Order: sequence, then structure tokens, then C-alpha cells
Amino acid sequence: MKIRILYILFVLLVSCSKERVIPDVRQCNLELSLTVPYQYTNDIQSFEGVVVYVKNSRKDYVFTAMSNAEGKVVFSNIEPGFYVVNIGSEIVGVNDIFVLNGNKSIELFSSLTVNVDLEVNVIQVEGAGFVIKEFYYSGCLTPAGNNYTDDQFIEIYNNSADTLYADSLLIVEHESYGYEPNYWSYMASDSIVVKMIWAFPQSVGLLPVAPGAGIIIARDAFDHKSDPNGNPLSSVDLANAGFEFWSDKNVDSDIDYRSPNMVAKLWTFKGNDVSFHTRGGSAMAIVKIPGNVDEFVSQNLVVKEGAISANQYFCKIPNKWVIDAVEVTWNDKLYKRFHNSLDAGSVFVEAGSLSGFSIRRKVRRIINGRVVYEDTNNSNYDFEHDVVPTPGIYLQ
Amino acid sequence: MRVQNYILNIKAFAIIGCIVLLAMVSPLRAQRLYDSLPYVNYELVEAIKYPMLTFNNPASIHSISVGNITEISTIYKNVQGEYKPLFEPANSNDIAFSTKSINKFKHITLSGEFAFNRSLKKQINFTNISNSYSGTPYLFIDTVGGDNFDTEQYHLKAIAAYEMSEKIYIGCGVIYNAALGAQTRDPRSQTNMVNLTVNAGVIYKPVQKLKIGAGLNFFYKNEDIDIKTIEQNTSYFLFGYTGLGTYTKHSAETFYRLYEQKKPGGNFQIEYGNHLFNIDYSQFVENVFDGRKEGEAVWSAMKHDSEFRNRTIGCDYVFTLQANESIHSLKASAVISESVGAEVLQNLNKLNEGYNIYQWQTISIEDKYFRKCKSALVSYEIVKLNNTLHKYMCKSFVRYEQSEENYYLPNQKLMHENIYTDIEASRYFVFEHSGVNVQLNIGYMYNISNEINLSYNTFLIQKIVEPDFEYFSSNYYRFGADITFDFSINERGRYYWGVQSRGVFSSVNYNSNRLLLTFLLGVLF
Repeated sequence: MKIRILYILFVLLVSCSKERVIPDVRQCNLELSLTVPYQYTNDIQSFEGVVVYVKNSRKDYVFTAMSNAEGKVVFSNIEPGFYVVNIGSEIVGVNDIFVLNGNKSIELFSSLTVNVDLEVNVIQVEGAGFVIKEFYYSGCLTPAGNNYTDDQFIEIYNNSADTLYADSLLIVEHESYGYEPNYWSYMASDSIVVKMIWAFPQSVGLLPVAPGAGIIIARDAFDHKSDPNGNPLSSVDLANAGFEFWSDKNVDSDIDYRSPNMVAKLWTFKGNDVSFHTRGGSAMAIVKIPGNVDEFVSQNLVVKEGAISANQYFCKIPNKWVIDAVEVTWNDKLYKRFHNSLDAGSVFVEAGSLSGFSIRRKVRRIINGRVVYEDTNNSNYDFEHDVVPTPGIYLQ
Repeated sequence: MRVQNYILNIKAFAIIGCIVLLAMVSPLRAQRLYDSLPYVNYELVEAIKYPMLTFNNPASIHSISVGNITEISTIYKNVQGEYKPLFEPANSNDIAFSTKSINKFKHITLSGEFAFNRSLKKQINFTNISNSYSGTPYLFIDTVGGDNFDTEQYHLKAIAAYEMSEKIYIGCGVIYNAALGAQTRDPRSQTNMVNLTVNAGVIYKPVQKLKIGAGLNFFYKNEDIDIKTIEQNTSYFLFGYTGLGTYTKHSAETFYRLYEQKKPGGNFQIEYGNHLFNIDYSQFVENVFDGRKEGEAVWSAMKHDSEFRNRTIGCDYVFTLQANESIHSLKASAVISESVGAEVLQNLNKLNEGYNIYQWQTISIEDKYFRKCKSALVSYEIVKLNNTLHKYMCKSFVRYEQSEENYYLPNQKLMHENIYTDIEASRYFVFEHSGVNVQLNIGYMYNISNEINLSYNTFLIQKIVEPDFEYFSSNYYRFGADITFDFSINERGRYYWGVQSRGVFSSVNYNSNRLLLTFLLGVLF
């Protein structure tokens, strides 16, 4: 009897151990086919070497591969999920550089072949136009551990070989903070919607900017490192900033420093001071609106459906008037606001809010002592992040 | 560091040496939350006499021979040392109050327990959930180590058995556990855990030598975790761990996560003469839901993060021989547990164009994780009785265990295979109105084989996977000692009070060890 029971026990154990629950693991292949608009097919005859990034939106990893000459890229045996394809690459022609940008969200739950239509920007080898050279929004901490964000700034830069004039430029901030889908995404292919428009004051007249020079626009234009009102832990001296943002909402609500004040053409949520989102909610752009700006703004106000307050009016601006844009995001969860033709990528300070770091454009080359910054309209590729702010410094 | 370890070793040996000796460390006992006074040791004797008591059939308590007994205890427990799983505290202090009672009436047997435990845990690394080693890979962690975690645990248990006839016994029971915990550093988690078990069973005794038992049980667990950052305008990286170093990353000031598990199970016993065979089966599904509070209300919509499925089958054979005043017990057990973890892929979609109402909608559920655990145990125990109390006891066992974890895409694997052997002995000295129980044990774990195969070398792999792998696949020895005094308070020997001290020392080498000390003061009447 004992032996029989032991035998039954043994048989049961063996039979159990044979029964193995195998999880149903699926894997997919993703084939990407890169295409460019018809007018560039003669100029761009080979896609060889174009780098393609495929990022898993849920997890923290990126696949990278290079395209073959026909523009085919294959990723094999990858897990199902949500992916973002990002392409930012340059093909150097005889006289021009063809900047290829692409950004596409893919839901991959079976093997797919996907066409990725690339935007093509033709740029001169020597650089062109104004760009956002640096944006410092994260702020920092004081020795007492308090938040300090008065040292925020944005810097624009003449990336061309010619003297350009900045007096008609506008600095704008997109309406969306980027932590939820862009309400205005239905019009993103031809317009952006902004909540702040800042113009250079008419009083300064013409504002020439030499090649390789820039303009710093500070939140508060003073030396934050050494001034008693500043923060010794700030790394930023903005005493020489060309301009500052300033609020006249209340008397003495915002100290008016020596630099000329920018003029608000639209400020939907006007506060006692201008502040940018310290975690990366402020997507910024340089815009040039032909004609009378005030008139344009008043004629292009838009409002969200169901909005009940007059201060919820924003301004719609055509993409064709955007000179440069940078898609700053909270983190790697991407809710794009700018169309791929403006910025096919995104960038953020990974160290987070109050880290004291900024995002800064990478140097492409130096021509006769003049810095030419990357400008492929893809901030993934164009910008460095988590760098110590260097306002007014171009050669590192 | 070396000096501290040296002092710790000296302390450990001194305390254990002074305490005359030894204890426990059967893994089953080590997992018990609330210790019991062993000085009358009715539980130990009863469990060997009637092995069906050790299985999950509530009708079995009818066979308890002692009746109308109540025990009240207060317990202090301290654990310290670095030889530990990563998520365990380096130092913890527990103070507990426990009471339990067994009452026998004509046809009814009742058993009840209540316990409260206050625990102060120090130097906990990364984890934000109350039990990081429940088996699920879906942990929730941050990058901050050295946390303090304060918990309060409540335990209630009630079992009733009824003798319907001389041949049929039925029983039912309910166990309720609740725990509240809070961390004291940003990002600080507050955990609120409740679990409830209800079970029912029947035993049929057609003839004197044969008993057939069956039981059903249902376990429900609900643990919610609310993570807050007190410091303003500061956020931390939080990781939804998905196993073997993989994760999803969140940057947030606050976060909410819910674990919900439903686990039905059943058991079946046949006892014929000295032979008892038991089989246990259970399966569960544990769902994890996330509620993110990053800025706007739309993020508060609950997101289904993952699903963890498990099934476990176990069987036991017990041979018991009672001869004169000795009881011999030979036991063989085996357990196989298989688990599959699935990640739920959802999209945040707008429900209605007219309103800003969003909801997570499931696109796919993908199996990504598989774990298989096998264990087998063979033990032999002998108890020499002195009337109803034990005079001496000796127990030895060998346990084999194998655990294999796989993550798919990228394919990764962890495996370790261990064998643990232990021997334990106790002697109970009886005096006119008092007794002294001395117990010793020594155990050794040997790692037979292990395998680690990881695709990446991320922060989480360096900080979590590799240290835990090293712990679970290391050889170590364990030494324990236990002494208990009990005194009869009244002349009839009906009331006792007792004091117990216990020390258990585990070490892998002189630089890595762990010491458990327990002090218990109780009364039994």
C-alpha cells in the first residue's frame, strides 16, 4: 500500500512537471519605406546612410538602423507596441544640403510595411536664417532649497553668413503644454496656435544682428549668480541680455531691469511675471508676421470649443511664417504640437525641473570663426540637452 | 564597514551562545508573522499527531485534542544585517500583540486569532510596495534608496468545525489581513493592503481507518499605493518594473497604483491508517492598474498596466507512526508553480468629441514574462511525549528548489537551483511548576547551478537584478537558538506565563550576514 501511494505521488509529480505553460509571445517585423516629395527625386537618388530611429513609446529603448540605397529599413523580431519613427539626416549635394525629416507614430501589432513621407529642407552649406540657439527653462534651487526660475532665458542666433534684422521677429509659445494630445492637431499641418506673442520694441528701431551673433531675451535681465536678488546656485549671468520679458499687470509685480522690455502682442494668461514651464511644457518658435502684427492677431484669434472665458483666446499663425521652432516636451511621452516641417523631433531636459540645465543647439561647423549651428528641423538631432546654460557664448 | 560587521558577528555569537539554544528555521515557520508560545507547544504536538491540520481544510480542526485554551502574547522582533534580498530592510523592529484561542464544545470546535504588528523598517531600497517578493514581476520602484517604511498590520482569523455525525465533519473559516504603510522620504508611498481568505471544507470518515477530505478556498487581495512628492515642483523618475530589468518610466510628482488579485483554490485529502495524501491547487490573476496624476485630470483615468496569471499545484504525503509515547512523521512534498506576466497596451482616447473625457482603451495584451518554480521537500520528525507535552523533538529536512524566470523580446533569463538542508532539535525540561524548552537548529544552503542571461546593462539591472540574483544563488549557513521558560501561576497548573528568546543568524561570509532576534512574553490559560 505504501509503495502504491508513493508510486501515485511520483506519477503525479512527473506528469505535472511535463505540463509547461508557454506564454503566447508575439513578435513583429517592421519594414519602413522612405519617400521624398517628387520634386526632390532627381536630387536625392540614394538614401544610403540615412539613420532611422524607432522608439518604443512605452519603454525606454530605441532601435537604430541605416537605410539602404532604395530607402528600405527593416526591423525584425520586435515586440508589439506603440512606436515612434524619427528620421533626421542630411544628404549633401553639390551645392545644397538636403535635410530629411520624418516623424511617424506606428501601432505595431502585426508585421507591417509602412511608408514614411519625409520632409525635405534645402539649406545652404553655410547656414541660413535665425535659429533658437538655446532655451533655459528648467530653473534651479536656491541654497535654502527653494525654487528659483527668474533666470530663465531664450537666445536667438543669426545662423547665416549675412547680417539679418531681428526687429520684425516675434517670439511665441505654443498653446499646448504637451502633456495631452494637442487640441489643435487638426490644423498642425498648416498653422500653429500660440498663447504668447512677444515683439521687439519699436523704440530700438532697426535691430541688425551680425553673422554669428545672437540676442538673449531674459526673463529678468541681471546677473543671477552674484546679484543679492539672485541665486548663488544659478549658473546664469543675464546682465548683458539684449532684452527682457516684462509684465505690467500690477505695479512692481515684475522688477524692470535695464534691458529694453519685449512687448506683448498676445498674452492669454497674463501673470505678474513671464515664466516658462520648468518641466518642458513650453514649445517655442520664432515667427515673422508680414504687415501689422496687432491687426493680424486681432483677426486670427481662435478659441477652444466650450471655452467660457474671454481670456481663453489664442492666435493662429501659418506655419509658413515660422522661421524656427523647437518642440520642447515634458519627458519622452510625446504629444507633438509642431508639424514635422517645423520640428520633426522633440527635446527635453532629462534631469527635470529645477535641474539648472538647458537645451542648446549643436555646433555643425565653424567657418572662419563663425559658428554654424545644426538646423535640420529635427530637435532630436539638432539639440543637446542637460547642458549648463551658456548665454551669449558660441564657441565652447 | 568591516569593523561593524565584526562587531555584529561578535554580538550574534555572544547572544546566541548565552541564550542556550536554538530554534526553528524551517522555512514554513520562518514565514509565520506571529510567533506562538511553544512552552506548552500544543500546536507542535497536535500538528504531528494529526497531520491533516497542516493542510487547508477547516473541517480538520475538529480533531484537535486540547480544548478551551487561550494564549496572549506580546512579541518584539529585530532583524539586521546586509545579507538579504535587495528590497528587504537592512534593519527592522517589530512589536506585536497576538491572541488566539481554541474552544471545543459538544459538536463544535472554534478557533480564533487576532494580532497587531507595528513594524519600523529602515534602509529599504527603491521599492514602493508592501511585499516585493510575492512573485509578481510588476513592481513599482523609484531611484531613491535608504528609505524608511513604517507599517501597521492587523490579522484576524476565525475557523469553525461542526461534527454533523460520526462520519461527516464540516468546517469554514475566514482570514482577514490588513496593512497600512508609509515611507518617510520623497517620493513617499502610502500603501493600503487588504486581503481576505474564505474557505470551507468537509471530511468524510466512512470507516475508522479512512478519512476523505476536500476543501475550497478563495483569496482576494487589494493593495493600493499612493505616491506623493512633498517638495514642491519636484518630480522623480518612477519605474513600472516589468521583470528582469525592463521597465516603463514615468516622471511625476504623484502616482497611484492598484494591485488586485483573485485566487480560487481547492484541496483534497485521503487519510488511510498512518498514510495521508494531500493535493492542493490554486490559480490566480492579479491585475495592475495605474492612475497618473501628471498635471491634468485626464491623466487620472485608470490605466490597465499588466496582468499576472499563476497556477500552483502541490502534493504531500505524510506517514505518521505513533508508538508508545513517540511519534514519527515522514513527509514528502512537491510544489510546482507557473506564472505568466502580460503587459497591457492601451491608448488614451477621447470618448466624446463634445467633452474632454478620455479613457484608456486596450489595444492588445502581450505575454512577456514566464516564471516556473519547482520545489520538493523530504522531512523526518520524531517527537517524544511526556503526557500531552513534548519531551524532546528532532526534525531534519532537505528541500530542493528551482526557479526560472524568462522575459521575451528582448529574450532574457534568470535561473537558480538550490538545495537546503536543516536539522533541528529541542528538549523540554519539566519541573514542578515550570518548564524550560531549549531548541537548536543548523541549516545550509548550497547552490547547485545558476544562469543569468541579460540583454542590457541598465540602471535597474545593476541595482536590482544582479544583487538579487547573487543573493538567491549564494551558498549560506544558518544557525538558530531558542530558549523558553514557563511557569504555572496557579496550583492546578491551569495558568501559565512564559518568556521566550530566539536568535537566528544567517551568513554567507564574514562580510555579509543577518541576525534575527525575537523576544516573547505571554500567558496561556
